[in-house]
Amino acid sequence: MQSIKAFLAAFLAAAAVSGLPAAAGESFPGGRFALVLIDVDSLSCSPCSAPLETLCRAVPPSVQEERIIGILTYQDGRTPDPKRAGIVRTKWTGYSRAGGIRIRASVDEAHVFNRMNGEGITVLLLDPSAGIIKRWAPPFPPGAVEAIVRFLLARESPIMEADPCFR
Amino acid sequence: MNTKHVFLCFVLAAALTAGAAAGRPSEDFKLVEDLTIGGPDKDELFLWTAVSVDADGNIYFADALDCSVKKFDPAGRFLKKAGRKGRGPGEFEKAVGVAVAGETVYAWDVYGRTVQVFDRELVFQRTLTMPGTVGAFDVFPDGRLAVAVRASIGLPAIFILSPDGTKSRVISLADPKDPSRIDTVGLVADPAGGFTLGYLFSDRIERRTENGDLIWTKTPIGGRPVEPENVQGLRVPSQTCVLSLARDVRGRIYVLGGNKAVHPGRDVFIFSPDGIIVGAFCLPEPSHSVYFDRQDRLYVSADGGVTMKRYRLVPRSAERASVR
Repeated sequence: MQSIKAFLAAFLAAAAVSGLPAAAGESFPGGRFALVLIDVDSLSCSPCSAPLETLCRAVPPSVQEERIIGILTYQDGRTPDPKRAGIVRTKWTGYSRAGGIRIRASVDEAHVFNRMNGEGITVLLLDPSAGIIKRWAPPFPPGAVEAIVRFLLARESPIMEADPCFR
Repeated sequence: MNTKHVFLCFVLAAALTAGAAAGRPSEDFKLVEDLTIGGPDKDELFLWTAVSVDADGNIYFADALDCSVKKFDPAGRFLKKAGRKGRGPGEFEKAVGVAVAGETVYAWDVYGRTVQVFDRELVFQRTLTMPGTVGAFDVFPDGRLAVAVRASIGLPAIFILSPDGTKSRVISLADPKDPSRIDTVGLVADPAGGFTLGYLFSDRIERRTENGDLIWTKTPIGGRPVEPENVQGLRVPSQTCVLSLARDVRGRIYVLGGNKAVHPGRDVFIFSPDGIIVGAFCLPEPSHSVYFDRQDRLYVSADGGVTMKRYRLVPRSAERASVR
């Protein structure tokens, strides 16, 4: 877990996503948050992108902005490619703007998250003290989206033990 | 274009030239770029899926990612956008098609059973209800519509409709020898009547009369069958053959090869109106689409669909003559 935390911290610092709950370092100060790994090629596929849209309909826009970090993954390429990263950013801009999605997202240019994300999206819930506490890939089981919303809204309260979705 | 691409294009051109005596393409072309719209880190096109050009040279795009139709002037300057995400009138889930005919702009959605109609200023006019999901669409000069409509996973049917959407003729593409065949088609209407079809999962293009009678059929990619693969118990095609069809003002048909081609998304084969292959060329980078305007300029995608590039095609024979 420590290595994943270090890895995420390095990624978030390198991604220069300002104002995120985890700015840098191996601890994640500022409360819980969710990482949403988004395969950018899935955005053009309605069934593939539907779970992301379901999640974003359920999470209030302000919470999307403050407590969800989008990481845009793509399958081709092994080395950082500024042009390809620009294409990915452009696609996300169009998609998120049209769908009213407020998640701020960065491109995973080094492909460090590719092996954690299949085709579509993967949601990772992170806690400053515990690291990754839950990982979901669609199809979301019943209650999962509601559990994600509760997790993000609860911030510091100890909900995991009481919530069956986190067992 | 990198060295590898130059080399591959050279190899293709050489192969085509060598094959001329055996009935293969006799002419190849140099592409001269004359317009670019969009690009990485530009907020103009996000994933354009179709393009059409009106009589004044204005350029219209369907954009799947921001659920819209966009209009640019002939110099490539953005003019207007219409549509938003949704399933109501003038809205799109994933806009995948646009066709301009006269004063009318038609646009349609992936999996949609409707066609949204706008005027050339992109003011929404009405919604046409289709008899199934729209796979391909084109307009005859008299305003009638030719629409590939799918009612199931199998082959679509071609509906000839009046401009208001009233059905006048249905042409079944069902294969009696293989009723479970899965495929989808691209379609270009012939101004003189009839239409040409290109099959996504079969190495086949065909020209038909307006009554559906077959005039000719060709195998642009080489005729090798597409091997199906098993997906959740269903045998589905695993490779694409004809990604896109276009027609120029002389009635020549341009066929963009899919991943069954030597250079997927880049090899373009040219057929005369009577089905003779007359030329070929290789795009600098993969495109999902080919389109020709009234001045015979070629529109293709680049950068994964965030860029449109327009080219003039210069026959290499003409280029050599001008050098002499």
